[in-house]
Amino acid sequence: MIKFVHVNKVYPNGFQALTDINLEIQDGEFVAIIGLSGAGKSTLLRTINKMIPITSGEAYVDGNDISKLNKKELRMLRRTIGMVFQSFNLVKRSSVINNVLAGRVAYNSTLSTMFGIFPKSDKMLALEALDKVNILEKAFVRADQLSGGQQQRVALARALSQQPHLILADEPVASLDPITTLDVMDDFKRINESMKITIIANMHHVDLALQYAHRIIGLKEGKIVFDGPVSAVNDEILLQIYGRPISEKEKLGVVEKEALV
Amino acid sequence: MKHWFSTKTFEVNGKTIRQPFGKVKIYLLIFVLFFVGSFAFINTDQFVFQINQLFKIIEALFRPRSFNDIHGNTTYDTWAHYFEYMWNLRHVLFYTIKMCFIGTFVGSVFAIPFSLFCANNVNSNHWVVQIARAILNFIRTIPTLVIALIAVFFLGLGYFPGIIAISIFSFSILSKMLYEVIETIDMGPCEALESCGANKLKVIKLAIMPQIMPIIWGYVLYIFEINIRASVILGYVGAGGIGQEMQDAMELRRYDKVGAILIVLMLLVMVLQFVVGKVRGHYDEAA
Repeated sequence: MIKFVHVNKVYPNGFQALTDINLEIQDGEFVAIIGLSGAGKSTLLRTINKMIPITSGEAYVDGNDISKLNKKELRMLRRTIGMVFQSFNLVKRSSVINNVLAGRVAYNSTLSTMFGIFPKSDKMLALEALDKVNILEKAFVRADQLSGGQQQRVALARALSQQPHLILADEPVASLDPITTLDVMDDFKRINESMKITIIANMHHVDLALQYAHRIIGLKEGKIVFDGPVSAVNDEILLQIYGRPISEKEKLGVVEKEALV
Repeated sequence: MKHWFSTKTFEVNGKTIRQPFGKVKIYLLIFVLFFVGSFAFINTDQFVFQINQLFKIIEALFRPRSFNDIHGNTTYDTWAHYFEYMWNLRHVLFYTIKMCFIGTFVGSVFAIPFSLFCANNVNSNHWVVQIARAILNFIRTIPTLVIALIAVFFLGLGYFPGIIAISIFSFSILSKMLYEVIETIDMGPCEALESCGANKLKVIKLAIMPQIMPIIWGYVLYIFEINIRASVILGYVGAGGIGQEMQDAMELRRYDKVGAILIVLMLLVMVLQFVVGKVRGHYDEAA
């Protein structure tokens, strides 16, 4: 469970990225954070695993007050939180399996990692994670040989190999084509439903957010302007989040999967 | 000329947009002025180009030794002797290769961690980075020859001072080259590893090393090549190897021997080039 109480984030240059954020996210939810570029979506997501520390307020993740964690405790927390990025962030020169095994680092000693040793159980976990996102056959291929969609699935497998209870996704489909986008979003949905992993995703595509998520958080200039179930989202609310009405066309990624087949 | 320095404006559909003045032009002009100006301080009277001397020395280098007999006639030694001498160089050459190999290896082993220490994107402590770089700059300003001289002074003649000098030189140059490369790597994988709960060492091992490893191989082999050539100079201070041979030949004005040594070194560098290509190609396939 995640709980934010009066959280603020001010960057060293004085820019106030988050203002008085209060939210509570239960286990198993699929939350989409929407808003304009620069609204603070990425910052909010990164404060959850303290990739960006908060300036004031209290943030709890699984009962831990994250601003009070020391380095080691923070690493122990992070290893149970998967993260997926817009640009995949894979080591392109390494094989797919090595990229997925990276998700296991925090479960192993520094010494064995230095020698590149991973236990066999970790390798099995990594391979199973690859199977869950349907690219097991690419396990021993170099990461840069894969297409964008496949690379994002490897990144997702890396997150899964952490055996997380929460996955943070920062614009996971923003650099994918519309068809691959739907495949990857389906992966997220399946992971959320069958494995009961909480998913918090920043989304550009309003219609995708509405289609896949259970709950929408709307950010505008660092403040939460909407927080509620997908069913409660209407044009009025989108107007509030984006500052002007959003036409059907502007919801992006407008293809329906059935329409493509 | 006036146009060259002025800011350009474009009219597009009734709107005006200005292209900002590029500073590059000023730098270019300063560079050209400096280059031309520096000629003013050269005494061109001393500049005599004796092309026949150039050919003479080339002939002396790449031809068997000449003798003047009692009648004043010039005869030449046999090519067999020339090539025999070349073949006999293998012992000193091997000595030099060993020295360079160990020196490059030791220097590189220290340079890799130190370059991480000097890279702004790995070491977030600004002051430590500046101090570490200052140390590197200091070491790099000392010519290898001087390092070797100091080492000979401390350790006596032979293998060891040569290795020390080559190690220090390799360390300083490889550290500098590597930290500049490390600063250009993709930081995305590092962020991903950190989000998985990796500590700094694990991030280095799993996200940084795979990105810089092929570059390290290329640089190390390149520095090995530089060291082979530098070892010729090291011979002058008594570090042994092919440099010593070169010095002896120069002192006796045996230009034929000097030429033979140059050919052998050139062949070695060519072989190295070939190996570098093979190793890099192999590394690109594997990983």
